[in-house]
Amino acid sequence: MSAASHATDHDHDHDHGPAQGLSRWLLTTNHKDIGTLYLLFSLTMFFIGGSMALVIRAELFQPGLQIVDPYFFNQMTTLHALVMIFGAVMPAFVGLANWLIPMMIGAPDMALPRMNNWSFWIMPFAFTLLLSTLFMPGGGPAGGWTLYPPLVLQTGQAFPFVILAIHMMGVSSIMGAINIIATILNLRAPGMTLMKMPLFVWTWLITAFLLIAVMPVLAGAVTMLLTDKFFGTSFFNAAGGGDPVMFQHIFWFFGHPEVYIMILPAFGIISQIIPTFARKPLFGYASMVYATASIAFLSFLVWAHHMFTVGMPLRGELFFMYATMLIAVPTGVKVFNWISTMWHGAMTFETPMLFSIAFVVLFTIGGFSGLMLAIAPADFQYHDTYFVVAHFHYVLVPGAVFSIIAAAYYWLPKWTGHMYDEKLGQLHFWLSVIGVNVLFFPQHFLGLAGMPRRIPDYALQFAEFNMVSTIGAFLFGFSQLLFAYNVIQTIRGGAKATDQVWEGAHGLEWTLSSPPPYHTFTTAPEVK
Amino acid sequence: MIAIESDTAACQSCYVLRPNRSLSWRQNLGVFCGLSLVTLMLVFPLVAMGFWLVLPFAGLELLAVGAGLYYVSCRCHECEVICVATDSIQIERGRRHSRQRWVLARQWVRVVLTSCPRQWYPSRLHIRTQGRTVEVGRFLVERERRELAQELTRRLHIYP
Repeated sequence: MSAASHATDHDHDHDHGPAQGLSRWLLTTNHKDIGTLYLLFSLTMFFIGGSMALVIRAELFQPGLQIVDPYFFNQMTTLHALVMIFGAVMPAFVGLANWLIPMMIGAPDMALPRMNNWSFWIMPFAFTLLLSTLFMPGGGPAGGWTLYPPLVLQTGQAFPFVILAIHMMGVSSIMGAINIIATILNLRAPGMTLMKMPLFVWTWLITAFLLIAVMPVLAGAVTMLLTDKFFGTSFFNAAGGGDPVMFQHIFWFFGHPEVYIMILPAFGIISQIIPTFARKPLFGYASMVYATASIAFLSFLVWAHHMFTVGMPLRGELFFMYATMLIAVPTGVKVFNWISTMWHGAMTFETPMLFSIAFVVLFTIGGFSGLMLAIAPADFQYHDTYFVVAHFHYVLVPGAVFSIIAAAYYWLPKWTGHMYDEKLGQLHFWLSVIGVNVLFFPQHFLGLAGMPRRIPDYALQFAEFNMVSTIGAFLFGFSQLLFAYNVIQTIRGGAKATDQVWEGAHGLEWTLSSPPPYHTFTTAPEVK
Repeated sequence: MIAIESDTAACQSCYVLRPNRSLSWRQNLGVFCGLSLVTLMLVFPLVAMGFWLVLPFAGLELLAVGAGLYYVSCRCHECEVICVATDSIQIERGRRHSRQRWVLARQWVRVVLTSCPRQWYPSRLHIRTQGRTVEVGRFLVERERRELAQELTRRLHIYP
């Protein structure tokens, strides 16, 4: 009476397959496709932002004005920051979240796949708009990524386009955050309780909450800049009764949590990689979760440490100084746990592990210089000098960027089904780690000696360290081409990767084939 | 997830299909309220200081968060009930109550499981009869859908 026709009957199914060519990537709702798009976009932006950094460093190779005019130099510093923060680091983490979160929690896909597609495809338009401002009358934005008024209001015709681009990036981030929250909370496999989730999933959940909390503040702040410039309001215009310092407060109320948005997922990645290559479970899992939540909470209470010199009451300076120092406690817990995980572990040093160890050491250096900056009376000396530049680059480059590179090496065999070239990976690591230290460590000395940031020319006593720093920049920059080459070669082919890939790897994603099927978890995963 | 109840009052076998969900409706509501509370606690001091333009953005964002969670929660609470009786198959779909209902003549029913070439997309399970087709188990994982197809086929082969 009834009959079941199975997989052999494909006559009616040709419309089920994904579109081929460009339309596949335009219309895809698959989390793996969208993750790949995010990661490739991020890599492109990393090279664009990196090229801008090399323009800056080339100009600073020697004192005097050699290559670009000061106004273009300022456009480069501004756009380098915007591109690296919103175009390279954040999309890379969102790409990793797209690829990994469903696989880690045993979900078939993201909870809102169409929204996922939109949140990616906004990004290329936002950045085309942002980068196109370089060719507009008056040039691109040159007031720094912090967009402080009244300086930023002097931007030429590019100004409204920059604000629109920032709004588009914000919308994309919010949509990504909503998707991640909905996926993690609603689509966990049976048995995957919150305290069984991998640390990467936990850190992203907390990051998504941070994004939701602070993005309206940024959107409101930049819109008020727009109305001040074009509609005669005086939110930040002192002549009209407004307060430009309030913009700094509002901006950093968004900006400091934003800094943690760029580092918390990195903590998650490192917490996945170190146990694999130490062949030990992560030490202090629960304390890692609580430390992440504490860092996120404290990020709302420390914004004014970016602006100690604006003239705050002493009580305010003391509050922000101590609150900032408090962040060292949960951060210290994390560093302690990573080291304890490695302690007495059967460690091997494949490329992801090398980048992870470098992360722990160099991020800690960035953390310590952050503690120095947190001391309000000392900050009056360091403020707006190259010491600050060295500090945040130690946190963001060997911190966020190294963790992204480590993640790429760690999960690339799973994603592509091929092992990457280990020798090339190790060469990339050593060139990167040497390059990054030659690039940024001398900047501490430059800052302590009083060299201001965001200047295209400088006094002669800063010449040697600047020269060294520039050599490091080119070494670091060009060594990233090895990474791109290695990634492309791995996508194209190479030795077959096993399903588990790494001997010590644990987690649901490693139970899938390498590469995983287009649709994962055709059988409900078993969570131990 | 599939729950099977046999020999209920109305039918011989009853298959209750539900998607996997890890958060209840009430917990989703709690998450949304908590998130809204935190966001508004951050935004209202700024509004009180005159920076009111933050408020519409916060409102729009919370609307989007609420809509997203509501949509996902609704999908996670979908339920399909397939009742195989002696002369008919009754399929009901809904959340709290039956929203859609089909009654198909059992003797003409075919269970059709179609797979996509190269497994680009999940398979689809249709119950077909006399020109009518009802898709069931869209939210099931692949193995559950195949098992359901086999179970329905086996059940329909058994003469009432």
